[in-house]
Amino acid sequence: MGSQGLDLGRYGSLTEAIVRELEGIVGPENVSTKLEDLICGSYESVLLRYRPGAIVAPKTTEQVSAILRLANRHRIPVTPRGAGTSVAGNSLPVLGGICLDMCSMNRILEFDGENQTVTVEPGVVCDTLNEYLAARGFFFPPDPASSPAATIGGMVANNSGGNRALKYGVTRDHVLWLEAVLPTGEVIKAGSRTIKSVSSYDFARLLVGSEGTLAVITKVGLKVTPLPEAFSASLYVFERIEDAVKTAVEIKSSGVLPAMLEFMDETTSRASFEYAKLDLPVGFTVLAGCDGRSEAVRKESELIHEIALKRKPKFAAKAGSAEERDRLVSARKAALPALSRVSPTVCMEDLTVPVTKIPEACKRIAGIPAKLGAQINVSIFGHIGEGNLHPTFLFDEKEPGQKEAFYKALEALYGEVAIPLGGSITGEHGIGVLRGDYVKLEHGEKIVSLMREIKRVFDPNMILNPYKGKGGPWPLPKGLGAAAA
Amino acid sequence: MKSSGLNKFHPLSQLRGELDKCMKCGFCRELCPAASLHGWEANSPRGRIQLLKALLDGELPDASNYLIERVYFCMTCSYCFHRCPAGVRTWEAFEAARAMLKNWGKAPSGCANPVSNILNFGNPFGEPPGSRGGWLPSGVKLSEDAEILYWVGCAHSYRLKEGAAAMAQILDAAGVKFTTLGSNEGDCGSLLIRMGYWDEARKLAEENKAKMEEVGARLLATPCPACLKTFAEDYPKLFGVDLTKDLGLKLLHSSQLFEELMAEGKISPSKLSLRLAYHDPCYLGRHLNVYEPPRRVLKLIPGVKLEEHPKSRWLSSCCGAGGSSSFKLLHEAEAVKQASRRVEQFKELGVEAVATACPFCTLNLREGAKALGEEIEIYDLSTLLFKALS
Repeated sequence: MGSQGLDLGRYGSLTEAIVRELEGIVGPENVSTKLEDLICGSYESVLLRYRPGAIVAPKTTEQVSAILRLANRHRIPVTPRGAGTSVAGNSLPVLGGICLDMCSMNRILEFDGENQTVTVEPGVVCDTLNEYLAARGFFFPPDPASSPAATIGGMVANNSGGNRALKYGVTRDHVLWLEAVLPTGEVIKAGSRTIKSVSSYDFARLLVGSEGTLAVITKVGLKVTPLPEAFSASLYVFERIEDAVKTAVEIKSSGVLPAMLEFMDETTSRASFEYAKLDLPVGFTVLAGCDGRSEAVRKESELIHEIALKRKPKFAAKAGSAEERDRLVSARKAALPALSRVSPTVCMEDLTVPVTKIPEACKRIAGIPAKLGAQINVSIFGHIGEGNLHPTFLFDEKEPGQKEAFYKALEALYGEVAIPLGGSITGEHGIGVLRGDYVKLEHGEKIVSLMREIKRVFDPNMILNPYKGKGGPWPLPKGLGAAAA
Repeated sequence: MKSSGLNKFHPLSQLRGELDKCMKCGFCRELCPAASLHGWEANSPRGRIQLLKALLDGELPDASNYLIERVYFCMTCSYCFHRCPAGVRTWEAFEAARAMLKNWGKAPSGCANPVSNILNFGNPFGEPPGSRGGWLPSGVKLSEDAEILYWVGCAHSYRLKEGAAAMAQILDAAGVKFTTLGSNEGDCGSLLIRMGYWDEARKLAEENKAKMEEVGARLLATPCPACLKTFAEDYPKLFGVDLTKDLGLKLLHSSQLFEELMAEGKISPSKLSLRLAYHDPCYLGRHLNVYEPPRRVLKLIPGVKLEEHPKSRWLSSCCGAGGSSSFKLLHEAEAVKQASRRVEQFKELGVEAVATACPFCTLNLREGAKALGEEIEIYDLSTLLFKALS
């Protein structure tokens, strides 16, 4: 279904009367239709902007349920939003309607150290949760670069990954159960408090990564992991990308499962080293780290070091202290933000390829700007252990033609790199608005139609984060619903 | 004629550049004290930046009262700048925005009274200028050829007199030649700058420079981080008034001077049995990068056991009185609530007392503790040090 599938007449208007009803549900202080607040709900870390018609900030599951019942009755689009840190338009209200700001539901409800679980509301911020857990000897492993701001609800809805995914998996691997409200207002509990449970379809896993298109998450039962006794980090800078990739492949084959195995190209290394105040030669950089029992970490990091030295890096260092380790790790974690100092506009993309295809993928990505006929540069970093690359386009959106060139670059990125090389159009950022057009290219017509049917089962009136993400997707014609795009 | 700060920093140039650097990552949201008091995005640094962009781009047709409130709902504590990966000089942008609003005649009405007090009485409280030096202990003699100009600041002069007196007594005990401007000392202009009254602040900068020149001291020491930050950073940057270059005046916080005097053996505190925490004032720590001198002074007092809260140094959270109390003057209840939160953080450490090195922090933390009904002593650094000397 193309744009002809967009039956916008199905939606009702967000009238004054409905706004009064919303105020009745959550209290007038938790509803805003002020232009200033609507602007504040119109963006995330992406070029696109779409303004909602109202911001509503519920505090309880019952309030979320009442809001959705009301919206469903009047067919008002509802888009859940956490901290607005996603980078594909995942939380942007393309059809306006209600922006459901979940940040006020931010309590840590229960910690159970013996059963290694924590129950949280969706607005709890990742780093805040980890600070709380660290004081109790535990951590929640998913570690996206946005962890200082990203909420658990947003991380679950987008199945966030991050630096530790190779060893610890992504968010879905840590979600035991969810409480969620369906677009029709019913409250469901998906999953189980126990690690094993095969008593239904795996609804928890279906909701994880559904980008707020199937239900609004109101509670999350997370599995937590005891804090490792020791950590290591080592950093290698290679002249050639092939050596960086071969090193990563050999590390993975050596029996060591690194807690992180990260990669930065030359442009990214330069910006990141400068940002982290590291006086290092630039090149293709690999950051490897292990965690676990002290003795094992020591042996594993030595083995990694031996493997890396075989390919004669121009720089090699093993962090000797916790401070040094933190510094090396922060260099990689700051990659995107550091690049923002290089260029006025920075758009981070996301794709995966089989690890051995990384050199070819990087070569093809590096060739994209030349085809665009506009001054636009690209730098690459990512999670080399998972073949998850973040080609990051550097340009100035205010210069004529550059924004358009960036959108053309996406076509090349997915059509000529990710899919032909056997990868995926997104490893961890999601479909959002940006990638709607490319899902069929990767998965084919049938998968797309199954996704739409699942969407309809949960959301017959198509009110929840409609026309984008995993709920279709229906390609959005330019300007649709874009109050300010 | 020197160029006006407003010309150099007018929003369409300097401010716009800072706003454009924001990549909307949201890292500034979670620990922003203002945003945590009222969780709407519009109260977060990212929200404020995007709203200012919308205003400059015409998406917002006008500076509404709601927008103006948001621009002033910030303690200028600069936590967001330290957190910002893109290096947006957030507080400068917000202060420039306030200057722009003030020039449009749109400063919040709550600014009028303190600003008028500063312009008429030389202090934001409206206290008579003649009583400014009334705290000076009778036994302390001011030097006529002083090496050190002790700049007391409005808050110490009128609201924390025991602290003002303690610093004079410490300097006296150390045998250094110092003086004050007495009733001739006026306002430094910090509050005017934070509230957007830059033209008025510029006039004070020039007047203060002339007064300091007359004293002819080689060193200025003040217990007020806001005064110090204003002299050291805002005067040269906004008004082209560089006290160090123009007058050869070394600018120090009292904690830095105390540390020097202790190192030279000029003051030797005796034992005080006290388990305490130190609260980093935003204007001393994050703004001026003075984290260690107050700690070293405290550690040099025998018997003092200094505990560190995880949220200290650059991670320290503002007490609510940041920006020379500019936030507190407009949002009294929220500022005290923030102070109570900070006191609660220190209570977690199980300390008997908190020491800090800023009069605004001292006063507001005391209010925060009182609101909580907590028995915890909040010490001004000079007062505590003098106690150990007595």
